Order: sequence, then C-alpha cells, then structure tokens
Amino acid sequence: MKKTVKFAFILLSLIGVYCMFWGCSNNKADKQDQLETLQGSYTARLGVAPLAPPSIGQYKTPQKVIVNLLVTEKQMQLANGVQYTFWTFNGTVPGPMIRVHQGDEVEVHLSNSPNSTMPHNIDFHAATGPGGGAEASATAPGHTSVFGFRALKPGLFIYHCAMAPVGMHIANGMYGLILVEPKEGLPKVDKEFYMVQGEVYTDGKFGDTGLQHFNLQKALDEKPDYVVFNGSVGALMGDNAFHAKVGETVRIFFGNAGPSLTSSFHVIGEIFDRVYLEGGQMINRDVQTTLVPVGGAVITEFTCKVPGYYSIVDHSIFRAFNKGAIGQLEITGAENKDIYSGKIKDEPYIETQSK
Amino acid sequence: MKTAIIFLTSLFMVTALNAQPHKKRPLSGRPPDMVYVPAGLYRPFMQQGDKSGRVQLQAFYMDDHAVTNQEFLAFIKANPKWAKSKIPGLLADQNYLEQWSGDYQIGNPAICNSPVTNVCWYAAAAYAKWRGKSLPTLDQWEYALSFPPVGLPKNRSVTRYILDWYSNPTPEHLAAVKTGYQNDLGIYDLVGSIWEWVDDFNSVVESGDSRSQGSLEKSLFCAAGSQSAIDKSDYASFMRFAFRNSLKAKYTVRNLGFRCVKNIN
Repeated sequence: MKKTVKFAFILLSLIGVYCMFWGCSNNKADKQDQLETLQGSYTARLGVAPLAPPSIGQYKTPQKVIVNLLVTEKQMQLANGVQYTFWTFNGTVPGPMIRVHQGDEVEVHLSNSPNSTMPHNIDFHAATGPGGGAEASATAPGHTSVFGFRALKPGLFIYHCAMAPVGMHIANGMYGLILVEPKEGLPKVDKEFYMVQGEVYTDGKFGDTGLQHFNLQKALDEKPDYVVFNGSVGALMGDNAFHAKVGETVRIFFGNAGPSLTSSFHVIGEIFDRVYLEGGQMINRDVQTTLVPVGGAVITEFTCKVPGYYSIVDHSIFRAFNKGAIGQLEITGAENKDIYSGKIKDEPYIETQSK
Repeated sequence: MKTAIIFLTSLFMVTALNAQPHKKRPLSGRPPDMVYVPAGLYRPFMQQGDKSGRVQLQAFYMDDHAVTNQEFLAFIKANPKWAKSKIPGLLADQNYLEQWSGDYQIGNPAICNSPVTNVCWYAAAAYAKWRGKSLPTLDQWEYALSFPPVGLPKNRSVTRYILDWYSNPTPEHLAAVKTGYQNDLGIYDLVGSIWEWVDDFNSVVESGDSRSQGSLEKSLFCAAGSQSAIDKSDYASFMRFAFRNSLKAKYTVRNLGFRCVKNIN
C-alpha cells in the first residue's frame, strides 16, 4: 500500500514537471514567432570572394536589408587556357557573400540580364518558406523579381539557383553564402575569408584547352573533371592566396555547392581551434578535417603560429591535386622553432649490418 | 545513317511515332513559306493530369522560319496600334522591340532578316491573326521539334546541340533565319537561335487555372515534382519548359521570338 502511494506521488510529480517544461517551451515558441518590428533599412555591402563582407556591427533592432543581385551568363577562365560559360550572381563564382543579423528581413532584388538565355531564380537555405524563395524569384531574361524573407535562424547558409535543371544551374556557378550572425555577433577575428567549393563537368578532360561545354553525362554520373574553390583552378593560389600574419586569428567561411561531392575540408599544417559544425550553433574544438555536405557550409577558425605556405584542400586528395580543389594561405612573420623546428638535419641513412 | 537518325530521335524528348511522315504530304494547297507537318502521335515531356499518355495531333502547316524583323515591320505598318510608342504598358513591357530605332524603322540592316525578338505574346498572337494563322500550341511546337535533324554530325544528338547553344550567351545580333538548325520536314531554326512563343506557354493566360500552373511550377523548381517528366535526363526540355513558365504574356525577351501555324480543316 505504502509503495503504491509513493509510486503514484512520483508519477504525479513527474507529470507536473513535464507539464511545466512543456508549457515553458511552448511559451517560448510563441514568443519566437512574434517577430520584432523592422526599424529602418539599408542596402547590403556584399563580399566578393575571397573577401567576406565587412562586419555589420552591433545588433540593435531588426532591419530590412536590401540585397541586389544581377544574373549574367558569361565566359570566364576555368583553368589556364580553359574557358567556360558560367552562369553567375553578380558576375563572379561564387556569387557575393551576404551578411545580416538574425531577425533582419532580407529583401532580395533579383535581376536577370536581358542577354541571358535562361530564366533564373534563387533558393536561400537561410529562408523559411517554399523553395527558399525559388518560386517567388523565378525571373525571365530582362526582368527583376523582388521577394523577402526573415532570417529566423543564425548560421552560415548556401544560396543557389534552383531553376530546372537545377544541377546544371549549380554546376555552372550559381551559388554563394549568406551569413546570419547571431544577435550577439561572432567573436572578433583578425582575418575573414570566403570560399565555396563547386564542380564543373566539361566535355574535355581536366586541362583540355579552349571553350569547354557542360557535359550532361558526366554530371549524371557525378564525375566532374573539375572540383574548384571559388570558380576556377588557381583562384586561391600564388598571387591570389589568402594572406595572414603570425599571431593573427583567421576565420574561413566555407561552403560546398556541389552539386555532387561531399567535401572533407582541411588546411594542411593547421588544426582548427573552433569549427561551427555544418555552419550551425554547435562548436567543435581542435579539429583536423571537417565534413561539409553538398548544400552546406562550415565556419572554421584558427590561429596563425608558424610562417609559411599552407594548402587548403578537399582531403579527398585526388580532387585537390588533379581536379583543382586546392588553395593557399600564406602566413608571414617570425619563425617559432619551439612549435615547429623545420628540418634540423639531413644525413645519409646507413643500414646497420644484421650480424 | 538511318540508325544514327533513329538514335538521335530517341535521345530527344518527344517520340514521333508516325513511321512515314512524308507519304501523306499533300501536293497542293500549301501556303508559301510553310511546311506540311503530318498528323501523328506525340508524347508530351511533362505528364500532367489526364495527359498521361500519347497525344494525337492533326496535320498542320508551320512556318519554315521564325518571323523576321522585316516581316514584323510590315505588320506594324498595317496595324500602327502595335507600334513601340503606342502599345499599352498592359500588353508589353518597356523593352518591346527595343532593337528597333523607331516605330516604323528597324534602323539596323544587319537584323532585317533575323528573327524578331522582344515581342510580347499579345503582339505575336495579333501578327499571327493578321496573317490568317495562329501561334502553335505547345504540343504542335514540340511535335514539330521531334522530327529528325538534317546534317548534324553523327555523334551530336539534338539534346547536345541544344545544350551547346544554351551554353553561349545571346549574341549581339541574331543570325538570319534559315541559316541554322534544320529538320527533315524543312523547318528551320526551331532550336539554336531563339526561344519561341507558343499559344499556351503558360496556363495563366489561357485558362486562368492557377492550380494547373502550380503543378507545372512544382515540377520545374528544386526537386519538388520533376518526377512528372518522361525523361529526367532531358535537360534541354527542362530548360524549355522552365523558360516558358517564367514568362508572362506582356514580357519581351531579347532571345524570344515566334513563328506561326495554320491548321488544316
């Protein structure tokens, strides 16, 4: 008898506690749905790869942020001596990087050049709504569409064209990143870089010169000839490499547009201090390689400690060395032999005689 | 060669099932500059609603080339209310006949014989009516395209030809008509130069049934319902349907023109 009473008591209190929490979380959800009123508007300053957009300062009240995008179809260099007709947002691959605060309304003005052969549109992974805006933004050549969405969730998100055939529009270069900063903002760092991985499917093999056309069969087989960072082989190499100094903190906004291959993002010779997993709110520390799904992104941060050239790769390594998925970070500054000695000695190896 | 043609055709989106199209070609009564398109069965690319199977098409005549700037000028001269400065904004956007120098001047001899573009659906339909013709239905247009090409290299499918065309931006001046792609009926430039209006390009204009349009949209945007296409690897057709679906009747586009058909009673 006593036992039963005790059991019932525990059960009741458990239900009570559950109800409290359930009630709480429900109230919270209600509050979240009541959006704060927009106060003012401004036109976004966009980041052109490899530069991320400048900081947008402290969050005070939600704003309407106007984003102007112009779709153009144009021939650009895919590799040395190799041309390709890219479809672009604002004339670059990737398209510009956008930066807003959580709570802001993003008002997109998507224009399609009169010279385009195709209709185009845009799907924001940061948007909540059908198609991420794809239907609302379908735009014939020579026209402009306007639509808006509220940036409800913080994180780093891909945007891309979603007009049929979607895979071709993505492979041809129609993608970019939008950063929705949490209200408290991201911690300050010294350098921020912007890069997106994408695949190109060409009739010719890697390096075949001249104007290359899109190859449908290779696309369907998911076998790209090119896997590139920022639209072309060498876009982040040599003179175009990222630069930082010893002692500086670096943040890389990295997206994977695909359309087919998952990326194993890695900086050779660095360990990420912090990785915002999949561009979301969970932070992992001390990471060597982070997996970035197609249609996904990641924020990585690290501190520059030893000078030299560091390769940034998709660690599916044939892509890096044979298909273009490689970039460079040049760190300049004083050596730190305590952390990394460099080669101390080089001497002949003499096999010791067995017996 | 015959095998090659069969192969090429099978690669394309619609399948012309009439085995001997030319035998039914009538000897007389063909309007000038038009081509006889024999009756036949055709399989629409987008399987919608009850249109699940094949569609029987009656024979019709189709213009062997797209309407040129010169031909359209004659229409404007006879029907001044369609001139650039007179057409109401409700019927055409501001780029209407943008390539012309004036209401009744083309102003650029290089494009007289090129397809007229930057024309809205209303003006195209009015032109067709003035000529005693009409705009092709989507089915008629796609059916005409299903006839095999002439003179394509063996290893180049029609789909390939179309994709290559799309991968080049629209040139400053469009080529003269009858200088490009030709099919074995003698119809020129159905692909390779411009997009063309069809009568029922977008069900909004015809039926006002937003539901049917909605279902087409769903099949054209990201993932959603692309299951309704008969050949999911036919990117050329996806593009054509996406293009048509992005239009409204008043829109004018630099690479969008039209041609006419005449139905046979």
